[in-house]
Amino acid sequence: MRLRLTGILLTLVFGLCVGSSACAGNKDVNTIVKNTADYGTTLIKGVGATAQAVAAAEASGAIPRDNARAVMTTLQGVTAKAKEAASYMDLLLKVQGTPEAGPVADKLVAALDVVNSELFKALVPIKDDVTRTQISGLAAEVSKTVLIINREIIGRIK
Amino acid sequence: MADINAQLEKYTKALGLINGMIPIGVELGAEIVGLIKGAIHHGDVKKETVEAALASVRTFQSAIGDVDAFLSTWLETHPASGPESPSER
Repeated sequence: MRLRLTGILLTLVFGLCVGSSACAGNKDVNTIVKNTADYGTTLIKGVGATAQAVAAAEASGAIPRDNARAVMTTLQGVTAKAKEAASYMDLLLKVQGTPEAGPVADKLVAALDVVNSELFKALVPIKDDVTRTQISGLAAEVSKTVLIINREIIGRIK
Repeated sequence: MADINAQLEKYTKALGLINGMIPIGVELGAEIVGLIKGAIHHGDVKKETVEAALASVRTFQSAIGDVDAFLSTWLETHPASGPESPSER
């Protein structure tokens, strides 16, 4: 009897040790959403900086008015998608731990992917090399942020 | 010799018992850790992390609003140099 109890105790202790490392991958959706939203704020500030660079380039005559308008219109599409992404983050906090969480995470990732691709599309009307270089530098920073966000989400929430 | 064999048999049985119970122990251990984490998850720790996440989302939404306002204002104050659509032409 004593031997049986000792055996049970030993295996339980061993199991707790192994089990705790198995549970270490438990996903904290709240922390993931917070980090994603923080990165999102950095992203949208990058979009804002891009818009201001375009405005300054148009004001200096480096790029034509219509080209600048085309870029600004595309950037409006980017902010609209970012707004959509923010609403999915909000929703994810509400549905975490339920079967709806996975599909909402998918929509969030899809919205952020569009933000990324639209930003590079915004560069197309910019023909001036100096402005293009400046803005593509900003766009690259934003793109990097989107990749970080996607890496945080994929394989964590799903 | 008989005593040693009896002891060996006893220890072998004990080892077999322990060995057989290891998978059960691992599963039980993981479940207990999960329950503990779940209990913490539903306590004050969860409330603080949800509030922190919500605050970050609100900051993100506010930043979007600022950029959106800049873009809308700029487009309104910088009209196209010519008609933008075929119907305007």
